[in-house]
Amino acid sequence: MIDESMLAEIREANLTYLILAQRMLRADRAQGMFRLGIGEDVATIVETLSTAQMIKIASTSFLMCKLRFDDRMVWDLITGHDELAMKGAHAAILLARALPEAA
Amino acid sequence: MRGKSVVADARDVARATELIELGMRLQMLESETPLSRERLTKLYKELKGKSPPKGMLPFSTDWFVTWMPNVHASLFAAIHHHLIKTSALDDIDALIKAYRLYLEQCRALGLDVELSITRAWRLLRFLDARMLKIAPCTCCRGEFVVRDYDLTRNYVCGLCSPPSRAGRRRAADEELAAAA
Repeated sequence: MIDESMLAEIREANLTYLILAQRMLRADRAQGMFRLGIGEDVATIVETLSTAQMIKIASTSFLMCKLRFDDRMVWDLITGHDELAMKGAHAAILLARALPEAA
Repeated sequence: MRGKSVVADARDVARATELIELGMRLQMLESETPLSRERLTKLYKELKGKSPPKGMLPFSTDWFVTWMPNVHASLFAAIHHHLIKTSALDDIDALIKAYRLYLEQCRALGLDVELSITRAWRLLRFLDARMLKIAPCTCCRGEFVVRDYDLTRNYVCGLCSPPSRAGRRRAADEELAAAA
């Protein structure tokens, strides 16, 4: 059982995420999809959500966004300390290749 | 020019402007936009305040497989691949968007921009023409740019096993500057 303040934080994170995602998609759909790591279908849904709908979706007890990388290699690269720039570039190459599941 | 839509023309000019600002060479603009050479030259002079460079475009595939350029080329190729797989984009739009995302990555990581838009465009051409190809690294499973005739069954990328002194160029440059 999680307490009320944590639920409030989940709602807040959800709303922030949805608003940001929508803004990114409306600014530039292709680049937004790339940054969010989502496919065409989800992008269309998020893009067309009204504010009221977003508030409604955000107020569930589920977090809308999940950790994107399940690859051990990527975690090692982005949490390592030495030569940050090259490791970052390596991680970016691995991440950029990962396509959204529905695409 | 007869029968040409003014709206389409305005879009072409806006696109050419964007490409010139990203540093694209005149030869590439000629092949990527329907504008005439004279108009492109005029546009170039107006934007950059100087005549476009006249030399040959870089034409070698070898540049892309040297260590540091390979990292940058592979990053750009990965971004470009992601964009064209997830959105239906014109070739030229995909190039512009992927290149902007690549610049943004460089800025975020604090890397110098190695890959000019000319090189990026060349890279896509070389991949199309199968003079370069993409091979998966057996160690990190990332995908990297290699030459078509490279053996890739046990390919390990330059980042998983960097050659000795890889990436030391800047240190060497700084030493030189300090000595001078």
